[in-house]
Amino acid sequence: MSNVRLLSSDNEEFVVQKEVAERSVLIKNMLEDVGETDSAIPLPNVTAKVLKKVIEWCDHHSSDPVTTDETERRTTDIDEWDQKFMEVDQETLFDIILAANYLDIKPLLDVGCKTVANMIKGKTAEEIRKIFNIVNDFTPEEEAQIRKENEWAEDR
Amino acid sequence: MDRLSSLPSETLWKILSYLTAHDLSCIRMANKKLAVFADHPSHWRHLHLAPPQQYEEEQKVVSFSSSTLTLWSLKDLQRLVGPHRKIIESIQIWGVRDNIVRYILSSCVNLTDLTLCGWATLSDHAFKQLHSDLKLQRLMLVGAPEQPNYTSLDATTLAQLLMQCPLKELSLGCQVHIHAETLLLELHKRQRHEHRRRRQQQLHLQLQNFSFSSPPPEKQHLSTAPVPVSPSVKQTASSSSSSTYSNSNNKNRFACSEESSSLQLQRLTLATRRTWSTEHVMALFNTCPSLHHVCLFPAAAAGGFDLAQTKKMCDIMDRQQQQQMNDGDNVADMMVHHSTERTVAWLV
Repeated sequence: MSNVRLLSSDNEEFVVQKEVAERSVLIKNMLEDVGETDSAIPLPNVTAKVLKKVIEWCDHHSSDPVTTDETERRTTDIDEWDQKFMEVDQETLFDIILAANYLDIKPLLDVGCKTVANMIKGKTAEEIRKIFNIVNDFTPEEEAQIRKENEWAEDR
Repeated sequence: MDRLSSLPSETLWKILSYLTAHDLSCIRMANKKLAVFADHPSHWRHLHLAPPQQYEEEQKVVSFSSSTLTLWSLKDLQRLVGPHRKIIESIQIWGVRDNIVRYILSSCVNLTDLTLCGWATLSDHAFKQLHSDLKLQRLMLVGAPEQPNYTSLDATTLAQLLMQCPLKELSLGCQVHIHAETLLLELHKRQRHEHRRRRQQQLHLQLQNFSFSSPPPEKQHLSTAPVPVSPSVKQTASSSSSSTYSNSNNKNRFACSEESSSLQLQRLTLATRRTWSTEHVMALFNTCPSLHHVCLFPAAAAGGFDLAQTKKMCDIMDRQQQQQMNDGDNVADMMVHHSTERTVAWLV
C-alpha cells in the first residue's frame, strides 16, 4: 500500500495511505493526472487542524463502498460514529463542510450538512439567528412583506 | 457575514433540502439571503405536511375512543403554505377538516396532486364550488384505521369535481357512499351541458366572423339554434346485453360521444358498498373515454385502508394488466373487459 503526502495551507505535512486519501475525489483525480509522485500535494484551502479531522474521517470510512445514489437524501439520520465525529465547535463544523466541498468528499459533506440541518430543526427564526449569529437584515416593512408573499411566487 | 449564510450556494441549498416545510418557514425569516434560499421553488413543489407538533395558535386535537388525531389549524397552514401557494404542485397532508381542504384547493392554483390522510370531518363543503380552473390531476383520500373515516362526499359533488378539473386518478379509500346511478346521471347531464356550451361558443365565434361581411342575425337565432347532442354510442357488448340497460329507453342514458368528453379520468379506486354493478362500471367506461382501471373495495368501506395498501393494489392492477396483455388469460378474481383492454377489480 503506497502512501501519499498532503500539505496543509499552514505547511503541515500529513502522510496518508493512498486508499484513504482517495476518498477525496479531488485528490484521486490529481493522483491520476500526475501519476506516481514523491512531492506532497498542496491543499491551500485546508488548515492542518481541519485536514487532520478530514483524514480521521476518511480513515474510518476508507473501506465504505462508494455510493452515488440519492435515495436517502431526505433523512437526516447520522450514524453514531459520525455523530461523535461532528461534536465539534461551530467554526470547525463549517470548516469541515467547506473542506469536504473543496476536496469533493460527498459523504462527509452530507454528514456535515445533515448536522447543520439538525441544529436548525424545530427552532424559531429568532433561535436560529442566535445559534448561528445571524444578523437580521430585514426592515420591519420587508419583514411584514416576507410573511405574506415571496418573489418566486410573484414571478409566475 | 455569519458562517451559515456565507456557505457556497449549493451547500446551503443542500442543508435546506433536509428541512421540513415548517423549518423552512422559520429559517426564511432569519435573514434576506436565507429567505431567498428557503423560498427556492425546489423546496416547495412537493409537500408532506404533518400537523406541527406545537401550535402557536390554539391546539386542535380530536379524541376518539381509541386514539387521538392532531389537526391542522387553518392559521398555521396559511402561514406555512401562503407565501408559496403558487408553486406547490403536490401535497400530502395529515389531519384535515373541510376548511383546510377548501383552502388548499382554492389557494394552491397549480396543485395537481392532493393526498388527504386522516380527517375529523370531510364533506361536500370541501370540494364544492371551487374556482373553475382547478389543475388537480390526482386526488387520494386515505382513511386511517384509528379514526372514524367517514366522508360525506356525494355523487353530485364528485361529478362536479370530475368535470371541473382534469382528474386522471381518483382514489377514495375511506367510508364513502358514491351512488353509482347518481354519479353516472350527473356526469352525463354535465357533459351534455358542457357540450351545449361549447357548441354555443363555436356558433358565437362563427357568428362573429360572419358579421364582418354582413349584418349580424338577430340574437334569438342563437339561443333557439338546435343543439345537436351527439347520440353516437360506443356500446360495449356487456352493457347492451345486460338486463338493466336492455331497455331501449335506457340504452343511451349514460352514453356520450368520446370526442365531446372533457372527463380525463384514467384510474378509479373506490371503497364502496355494493351498489356498483357490472353495468354501472361499463357505463362509467363509456362515459369516461380514458378510464382504464376501476378498482372497487367493498371490504375497505368498513375499515378504510392505508396508502401502502392502495399502492399495493395499484401495483397488482398494473401487473395483472401486464399479464393480461402478455398471455391474454382472464385473471380468476377479476372481471376483465377484453374488448376495451380496460380492467375492473372487485376485491372482497
